[in-house]
Amino acid sequence: MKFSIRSIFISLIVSIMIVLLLQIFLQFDLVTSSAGSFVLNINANSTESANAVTSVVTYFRGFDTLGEVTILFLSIFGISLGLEGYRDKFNIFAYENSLLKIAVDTLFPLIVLFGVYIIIHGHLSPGGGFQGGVIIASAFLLMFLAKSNDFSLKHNILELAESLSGAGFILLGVLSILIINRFLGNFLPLGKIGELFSGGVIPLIYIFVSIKVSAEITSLVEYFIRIKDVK
Amino acid sequence: MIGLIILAIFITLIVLAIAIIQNDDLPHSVVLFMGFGLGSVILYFLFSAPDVALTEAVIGTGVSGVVFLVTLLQIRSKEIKK
Amino acid sequence: MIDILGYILILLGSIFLILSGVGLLRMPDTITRMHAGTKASTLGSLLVIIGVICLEPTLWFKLSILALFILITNPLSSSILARSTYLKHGFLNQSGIDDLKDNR
Repeated sequence: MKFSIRSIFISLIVSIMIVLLLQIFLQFDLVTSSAGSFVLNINANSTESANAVTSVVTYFRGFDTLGEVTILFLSIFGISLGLEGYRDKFNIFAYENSLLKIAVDTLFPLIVLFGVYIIIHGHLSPGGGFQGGVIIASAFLLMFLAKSNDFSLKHNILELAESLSGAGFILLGVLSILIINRFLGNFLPLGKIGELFSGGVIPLIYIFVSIKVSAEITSLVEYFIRIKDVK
Repeated sequence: MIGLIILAIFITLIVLAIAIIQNDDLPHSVVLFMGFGLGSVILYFLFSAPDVALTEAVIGTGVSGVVFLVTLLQIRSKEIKK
Repeated sequence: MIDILGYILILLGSIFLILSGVGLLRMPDTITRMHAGTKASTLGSLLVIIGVICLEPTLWFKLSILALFILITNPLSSSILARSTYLKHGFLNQSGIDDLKDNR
């Protein structure tokens, strides 16, 4: 079937007209549920975190976060195990442009700054360790794309950062088991809601998660960019 | 009014998904996939889930698109070499 | 007073953004489309950001970082797109001057 831009536009316009007719006849509106206010009520009593999603991810469901991080680690581990023998020192992007290189030098600190901001404000505003970690990894991805063979990362450092942060995550959980008898429970002073140093143990967990995620995604992209001649 | 915008974005996402599947040109399809990610970012934001919107904006629009393009480039270079 | 200035700047910026969208639809080939899509949308985004600074002066630091980001990335991506268009499709205009001939 041949597909052109014109047919996409025509089907778009037709479907928007159908939506308009449906809106007139059926009176659609957003359905609000009651689960959100329930979670917000519990959150106000237990953790002093302004972002309720954060306290769900790291406090109520901390064990599930450990599972997610383990799944990510296993996928990167499988990729590195399968592709280790085929690594080349050359980048597949052979595009050389001095303008791009100079501009990327300016952009890299800005993107890393944005990622760090997202991480350390994870308990105050939308975002958190996973999102900020992927933003930092995308800054490294930009460096890989722009400076083809001038930029390289040592895999030892990436693996060291990843394993240290994972060990730190688990050690934090074990420490809280020893102190208050709950995995990833809060044993630090809570502080006041809405301030930077509040939320107890949540920012620490997010810093560990962000280092782990950024190291993993960076090494994934590095593997994909440098493989050559898979038989 | 906001329900109208949400329904329009839903329809756009359906059209984009059909276009991604039906396209013959694979890089073109990847670009449409990134557009699909952008539409779902707006949708998540309108459904008041900014955390998920941020994740989708970084992963669905940035990293996965680049990983797809790198894979296509690797396949192309193998085909040219043979 | 400064509120009215902010609203006027936001309105001007959105007019430029709409013009850039119209230009993307109306222009005939890649280079001219890039011309419409980059310059007008850079100016439009910057005007909107300056208008928001006039409305909310406490956010000036984050918004100026955003403006810096747009000022770097938008012309850069336009330049890279134009260069790769040239490398793929060759010489497009009628003037006979080809500055990138040696870099091919």
